[in-house]
Amino acid sequence: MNIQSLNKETHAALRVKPPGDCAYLATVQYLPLLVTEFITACTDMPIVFIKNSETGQFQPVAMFGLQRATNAFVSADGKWRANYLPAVARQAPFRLIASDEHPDRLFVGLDADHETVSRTEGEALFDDAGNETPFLERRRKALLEFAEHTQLTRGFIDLLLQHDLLRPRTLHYGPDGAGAGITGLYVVDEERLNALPAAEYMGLRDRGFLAVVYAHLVSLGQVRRLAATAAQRAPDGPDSPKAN
Amino acid sequence: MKRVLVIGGGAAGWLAACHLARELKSGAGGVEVTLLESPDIPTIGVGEGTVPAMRASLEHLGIGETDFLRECGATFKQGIRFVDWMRPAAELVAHAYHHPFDPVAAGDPDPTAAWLLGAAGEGSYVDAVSIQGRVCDAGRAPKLMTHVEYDGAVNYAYHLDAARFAALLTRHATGRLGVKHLLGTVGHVRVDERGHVAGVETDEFGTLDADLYVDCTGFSARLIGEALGVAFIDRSDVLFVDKALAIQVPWNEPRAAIPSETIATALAAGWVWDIGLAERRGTGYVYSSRHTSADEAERDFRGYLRESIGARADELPCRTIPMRVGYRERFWAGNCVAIGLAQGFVEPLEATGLLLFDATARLLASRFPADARDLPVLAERFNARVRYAWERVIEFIKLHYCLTDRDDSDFWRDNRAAASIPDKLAERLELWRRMPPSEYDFERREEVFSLDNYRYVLYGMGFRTDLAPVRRRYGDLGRARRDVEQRRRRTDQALLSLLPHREMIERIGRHGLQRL
Repeated sequence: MNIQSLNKETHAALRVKPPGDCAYLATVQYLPLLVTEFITACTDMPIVFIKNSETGQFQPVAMFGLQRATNAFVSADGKWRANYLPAVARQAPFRLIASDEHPDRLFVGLDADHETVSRTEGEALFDDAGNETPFLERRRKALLEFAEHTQLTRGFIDLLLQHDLLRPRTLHYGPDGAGAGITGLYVVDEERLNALPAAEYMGLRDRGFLAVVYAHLVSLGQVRRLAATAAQRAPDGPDSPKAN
Repeated sequence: MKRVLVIGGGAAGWLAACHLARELKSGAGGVEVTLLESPDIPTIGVGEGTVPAMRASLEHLGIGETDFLRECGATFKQGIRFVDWMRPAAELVAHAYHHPFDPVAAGDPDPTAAWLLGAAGEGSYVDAVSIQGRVCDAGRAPKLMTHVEYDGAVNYAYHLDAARFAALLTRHATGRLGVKHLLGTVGHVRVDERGHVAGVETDEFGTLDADLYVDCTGFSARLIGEALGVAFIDRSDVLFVDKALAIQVPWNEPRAAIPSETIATALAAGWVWDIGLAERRGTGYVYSSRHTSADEAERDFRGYLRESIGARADELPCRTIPMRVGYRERFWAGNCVAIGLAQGFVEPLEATGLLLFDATARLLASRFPADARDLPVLAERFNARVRYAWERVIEFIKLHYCLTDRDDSDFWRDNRAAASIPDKLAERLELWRRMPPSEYDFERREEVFSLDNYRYVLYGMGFRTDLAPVRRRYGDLGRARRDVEQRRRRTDQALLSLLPHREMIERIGRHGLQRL
């Protein structure tokens, strides 16, 4: 990785092409999810809360696999097999960075080593006059929106904690919701949610979080989809790790 | 019984007030708890070490761990490292051993017996039965950022700034637990003809009376000692140290590594405590004035500090604290209960100060009389229990001294004299020469220090339990070495994920710990 602060002098000649495939996600079990993505993502994959190992802070994630370093949504040929791919995976090669001189401001950074960065193919970043192309403008907006929604997501988590709505839960993926399970996950406790005082419950609704909470609860059933995919692959499926 | 008056605003007074108010619902129509604090009496405030029971107490009182750590400049304590309590292991290699908080591992074969029989390899006792010695050596924190408040990968307590701790307890007691706080000077204490306290006269509020008085006035023991005349049992025949010098030491650099254990280093006539807080070190030399002069003691103490901070050690201000080792003949007399230094004192070698204050405050709160008629019977039980606890604590502290092979000063030689060793301790030590300590040797709940504490100290100091004649009782020891190897690998794993202590404290400062 080689993150540089994007500017028209250094990067005038660079282009960005569409990502090749998703093979790099094959060993990614979770990706962080924004609160604004819950409703779309819930029809594909379980959305749960985990603790960030560096900070201990809760964060929502989309879950792709039942085991460490597995991803049921990446096929043997590196294709993404779900309808939805979380925004965080669509940012590369761009990302927002803070500079040492202006710690309170964010700048667009570019990973110059990323496979999508090219001098010959793809969309130009700057036009001949040195202005941002509409492509770069779109990507910049997406980055800023991502940062905003990250704040919103933090607010959502704070509210869940304030109302004491999260509970640790082992997610079982056997036939009757029994059998093997994944630990270290947290989910919204529906009983606690229903027992909230009216004012607090309405507070969730007014901030648009009620649908989000239900998207999360509905998504938990998707764990069976992950189990089915895993079962298809193991023990002798073409994608089985033993096959190599 | 409607009203309690706690007299004294140090850590002991506020701990007592918190436990009483929490248990008796002071803010919600229960027993009214009032704390009277004198604005011009400084607290002693050197009790900077705790034991794991403090964790349980803080949680019980409803104080968040993140708040506690931030507001008290606190750090994690995983035990004590004893340095120079024996002769040097080799030339220029100081003797050192850990007394960690994690339990001694159990198993089949029993790891302690296997170690004693030489079947667990050549390593130290602590490494044969626990992962925590190495966690401390590596300077790691006892928990991860993902651990819930008050939970950890290994057992732990805290180092804290006692003055800031008292301030936190004050806010918690008055803000959350409904304790009434009065700032006033204690004058004459009235005593009635039955020998009960009948009121405390103050300049500011006239005479304050209550159904029960809690004496937390420190060494002066204004109620239990001065007014009620309960005698003090001096135990300087067993434990010799009677003076403390205390120096607050700045860190050499802002990001200096913080040890995650108290370091207790033995000197010629006592020992130095060295405690790493977030913003400074708290150090002190407790010594026996019968074995060294005040000047010599201060010179030795500053000499110890010079090893880490150089010539600056000679400039830092030094405070002298007189101590009186022993305890009251009774801790509960009539309608007055003593908690804290008014109750008794031993050197802070195993952080017994806050430990006993906390334990006895909790005991009082949970066995608080419903009616004045119950005072005598509750007092009798309280006295028996607390006396038992003090006697055992003194024996456990003595253990550290009487096992030594140091021969370089009278202080250490006198400490081994048979006449200075309490009978019960001598009896236990004799038994343990031929069989290892067992849980059946520690049957009562009041045992503040128990089986594992004894095992870590005994075998850390090279005490010999000869199991060879009874070796066959322990069956096949073939697996013991493999178990030790397995523990070593588990420790390696743990060290990969546990953060350096200071970094963990800083991250908690930034992000906070979760409550679930």
